[in-house]
Amino acid sequence: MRFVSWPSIKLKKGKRMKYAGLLVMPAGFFVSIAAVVLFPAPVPQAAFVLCGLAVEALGLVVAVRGHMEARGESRS
Amino acid sequence: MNSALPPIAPVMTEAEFALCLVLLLLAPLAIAGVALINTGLGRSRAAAQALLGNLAIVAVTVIVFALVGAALTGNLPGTPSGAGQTFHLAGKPWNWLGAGRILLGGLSAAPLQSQLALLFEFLAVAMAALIPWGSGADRFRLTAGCAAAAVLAAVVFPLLAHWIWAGGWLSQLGVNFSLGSGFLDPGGAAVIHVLGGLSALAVVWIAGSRKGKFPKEGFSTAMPGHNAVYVLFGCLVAMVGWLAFNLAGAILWLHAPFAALPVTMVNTLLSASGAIAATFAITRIRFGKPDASLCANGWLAGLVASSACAALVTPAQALVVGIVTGIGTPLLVELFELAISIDDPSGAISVHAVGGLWGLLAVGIFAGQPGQLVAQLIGIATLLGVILPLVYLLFALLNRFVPFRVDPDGERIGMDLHELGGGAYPEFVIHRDESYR
Repeated sequence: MRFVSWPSIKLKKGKRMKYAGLLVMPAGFFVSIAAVVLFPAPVPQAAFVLCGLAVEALGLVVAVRGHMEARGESRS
Repeated sequence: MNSALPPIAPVMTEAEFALCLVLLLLAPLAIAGVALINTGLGRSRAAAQALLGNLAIVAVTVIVFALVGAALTGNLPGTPSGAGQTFHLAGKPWNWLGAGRILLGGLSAAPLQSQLALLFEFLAVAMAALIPWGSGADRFRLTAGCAAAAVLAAVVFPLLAHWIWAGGWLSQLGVNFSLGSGFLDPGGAAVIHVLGGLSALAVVWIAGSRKGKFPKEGFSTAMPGHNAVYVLFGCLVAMVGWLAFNLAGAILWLHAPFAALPVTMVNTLLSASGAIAATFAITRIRFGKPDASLCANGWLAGLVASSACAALVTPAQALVVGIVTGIGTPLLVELFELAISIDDPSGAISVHAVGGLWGLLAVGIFAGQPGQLVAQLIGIATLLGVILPLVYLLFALLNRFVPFRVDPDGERIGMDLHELGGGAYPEFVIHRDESYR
């Protein structure tokens, strides 16, 4: 009997990092939205929104590092 | 999930309608300016392809937006009960998608303001889709450029335009959560420029850098634009279009009175002027002489930042916004190229994405309304956390079917010969590229 399997997705390290970074960024967005819903007081609300932006920045940094890694792989 | 009523707006007078219509007749000059800048910053052997690409992208976006996108922005009353799809969270409505009729159904019966809003969006989507085209210069295929523009016009732009301009959840942050006046973007800094700039980043990541740009050893190779005259003249042409966009946006989205329009105009000019003066000084200090293409980038970034704040700040604040933009832009262009290996010939990522984000933040800083800064930060978080991953994902999928990058032979002979069969300057000998030696 022959089983049909999903094709295995093999991504290079640089691409994996880029996708990981881009997946982290929406998490930061949801943190910011949660701040609006959960904290009516302005100070914790603003702090939480900034935390969400910080998470997005981390994701962007990982994606950029992934891009540089991928470029290094293609050059060598 | 249910439908939400469209936002309540004061009825537009005939004089406002006439002025807005005249302004929207001038707004395409911003598109013409960006097209000239895109062409001038590319190489001579891709000039015809670049300019034809600009025209083709405008055509594709207009058609796709008319067929699909306009319905999703929700400016035209389509469904009998309202203009958007809404869900409820924490007891508040979140209007996330427009629900108009496809193929511009109901356009002629719509109120004048809705018709003008739609016209504004037609021009805005064309402008947004042009921005990534410049970043992909010299290796981005024409077909792929048009396909990417179609994706932007059909999916991403309508979502963002609905959220910000057509009563969507971002514009309702003020009503629902007491965050100032909700997310404000009258001139399209977010909907046009940040969207375009982030799309440019996605294109650059997917298409890769031009051959020879980043050699195996040493620093990146300088590949200057082929025509500084196009670039600088494009800046002047774009200024007229930008003034029109900012004034029309102030009337349409902020319902600004006539008395507020001269200040908006002055602020636009001050922001651009402050930016180019700062870039001129920075490049003069850094390189010994002012750099023409970076000064053009500074001017354009000042205009981009003004799109967010020209109608909302004082002239002194607009000047500060422009100066900060002008200092940051040349440094960012250099940082992106040298430190993080991003080959962006038109500088769209630093000019449109970062310039737009700074303008949006400046609205929050200078508006002086409680909660406005948080509303602007949430808008910025949406652009970075939702729009960038969405655009990258869509473009990466598209790249599987319509490859973005031209084949190596096409890149070697130039996009004009490869894609069009003839060059833009047939009477001139095109020099062999140094990077292929």
